[in-house]
Amino acid sequence: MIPSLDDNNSLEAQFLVAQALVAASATNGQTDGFDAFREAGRIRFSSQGFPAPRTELWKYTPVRRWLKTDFSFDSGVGFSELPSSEYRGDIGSYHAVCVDGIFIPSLSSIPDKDEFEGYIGAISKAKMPLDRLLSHLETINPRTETAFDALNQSFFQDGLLVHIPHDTELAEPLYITNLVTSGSNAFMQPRTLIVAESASKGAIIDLRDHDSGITTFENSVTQIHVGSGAQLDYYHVFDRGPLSHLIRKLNVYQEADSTCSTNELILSGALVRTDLNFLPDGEGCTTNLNGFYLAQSDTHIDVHTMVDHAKPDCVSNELFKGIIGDTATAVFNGRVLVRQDAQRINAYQSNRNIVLSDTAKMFSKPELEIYADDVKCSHGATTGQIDSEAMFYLRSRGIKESVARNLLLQAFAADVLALVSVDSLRERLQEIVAERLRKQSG
Amino acid sequence: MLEIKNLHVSIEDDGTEILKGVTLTVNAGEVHAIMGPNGSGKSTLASVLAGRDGYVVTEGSVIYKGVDLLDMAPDKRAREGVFLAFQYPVELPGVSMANFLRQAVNSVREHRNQKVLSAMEFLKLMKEKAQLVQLDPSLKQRAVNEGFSGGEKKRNEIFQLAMLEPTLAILDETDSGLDIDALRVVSEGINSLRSSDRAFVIITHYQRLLDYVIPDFVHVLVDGRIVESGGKELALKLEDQGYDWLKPTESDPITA
Repeated sequence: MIPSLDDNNSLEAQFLVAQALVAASATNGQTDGFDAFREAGRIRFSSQGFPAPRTELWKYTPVRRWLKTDFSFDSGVGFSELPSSEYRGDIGSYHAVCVDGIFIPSLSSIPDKDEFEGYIGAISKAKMPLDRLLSHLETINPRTETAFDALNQSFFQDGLLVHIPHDTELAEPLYITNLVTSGSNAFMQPRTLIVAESASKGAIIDLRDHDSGITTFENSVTQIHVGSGAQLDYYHVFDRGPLSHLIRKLNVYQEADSTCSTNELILSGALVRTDLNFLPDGEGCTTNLNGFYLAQSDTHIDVHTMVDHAKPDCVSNELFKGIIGDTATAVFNGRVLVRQDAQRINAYQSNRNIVLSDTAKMFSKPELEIYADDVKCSHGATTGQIDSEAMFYLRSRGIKESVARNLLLQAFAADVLALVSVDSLRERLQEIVAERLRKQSG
Repeated sequence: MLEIKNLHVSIEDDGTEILKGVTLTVNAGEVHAIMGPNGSGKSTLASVLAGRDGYVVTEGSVIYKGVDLLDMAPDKRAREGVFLAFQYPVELPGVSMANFLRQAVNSVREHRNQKVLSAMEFLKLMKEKAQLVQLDPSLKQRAVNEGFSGGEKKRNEIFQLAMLEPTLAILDETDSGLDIDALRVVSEGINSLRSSDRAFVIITHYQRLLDYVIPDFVHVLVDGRIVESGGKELALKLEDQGYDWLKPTESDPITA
């Protein structure tokens, strides 16, 4: 049951009140070009409301529980300098920094026009025509829409745009550092738009790893448009610590003959719910969607993926692996939809989990819906414990139990981490994961 | 070095008794062969000595170098010098041979108050010992036993034995699944590792390994008891006459 929105005490009410203030201050009496966009979001959010208990898509994540908080919707104190990051290493010349979703030029290093003809900066200052911007921002597959997308849209003030023009290559991987200001119980709704035009190429690393030590809540939307023949590698890291909450939507739209490879890495958080949606909407697309989640202490991680094969002759490869310990819960729901006209699709999905304790929970649900008749699809899901025979083998060679367990867990994570193509990121990830597992084993 | 007295062992899950009073003494430098028909308890004996889960010792004792072996965790046993060459070596995808063996060798060395090996020293040792059983040195990059042929897996066990330099090596059907050339390589490896302070317990179904690795003692295990012990000639008799002439007896087992 969705509580009545007339009731001022309903969960939705505090968001709608705050939204009205944001919408009014954003336009300041005049249109900023996005008022209709915000209003459309508000209407969708008001009519849908947050997912009701027992909603199938939120079965294991009764999200209302986490929303019963007095949130602050205003940015707090900003950052005078860039916090360090285990994942980033030295800052190159491709680094965009956003605080509460707002691009901060003074903390960023963006290549100049001679080096990079594209655009990395605030959506509001982009030279891309408004109607094109809006059409990208509004590209949401109706099959995967949620109240959180709509809420994010209704609060839209600004966001980050990465625009890689036709036939252009990002000379270095672009790092995006997403920071949240220090207001306690801050509820922030960042939005990132990545447009890789036809025949372009690049790698983007989207980091949410700064732990400010206070309760944070992010409702983030990232939209990626991969033009025909383009190749985009996209990595998202979430590691904000035990007080952080993330509701995340990734929408990837692919044109013909494009390749999009993503890796979703979740290493901490009180609540992480990600919906990763891929729509290869042209022939000859390749979609690689991979991920690794490490749920320790009482972390709750819920990963939903959806590959909507709308056009023929495409390939999707999906590998998600998880390690769940202590009293943590993890959910993997992987949906692959092959529409009737989408013939000759090869779609592979694999979800493997290791549960380390009696109190940890894992729910894995592959969903294949195939309406075309000439397809190759496979899926496999396993959830188990560390292999006792492998443990015995290692221990019989003198290796201590904790070290043996750590070796096996690292080995378990190795193949999915190996799919990270940016060498420096992959090496750091391997070290960080190994370190976390050592703590888990010890 | 090893004193097994009246050892009774059951399977934890269903309580089936497998070993029904095994007594065996092994001294440093000796090579003991344990033979017997399928299901007689040979592999159970090896498993219990190495500390595999799933077995319950209901009676008897195992003293190794003066202390109770059964009280030690499997990794502690290994650090104390017990080594089991597995009948079915385990594949460890994602764990490289180099990483695996370096962890193993250094934990054993640390325990013996020996210097921990540097990466260079370790690789040198690995190369040297791999030659002993003619393993390709490129194996260090490979995941442990993954994609190894049956023969490679068995040679890998002997290679690990050479790396870890145990005092008591238990070989569980190391000869099974080996062709004649691989058998010769493995046997030569074992022979080169024989020394006055190292004992071997070789578990085998067939006599053919014992043509190459000459045992000091041969014991026949039937239905959980050692029913016959003797010198190397006993193995030849078994090869010739099979196990049928040996009936399980209720009498006291014969000690070596």
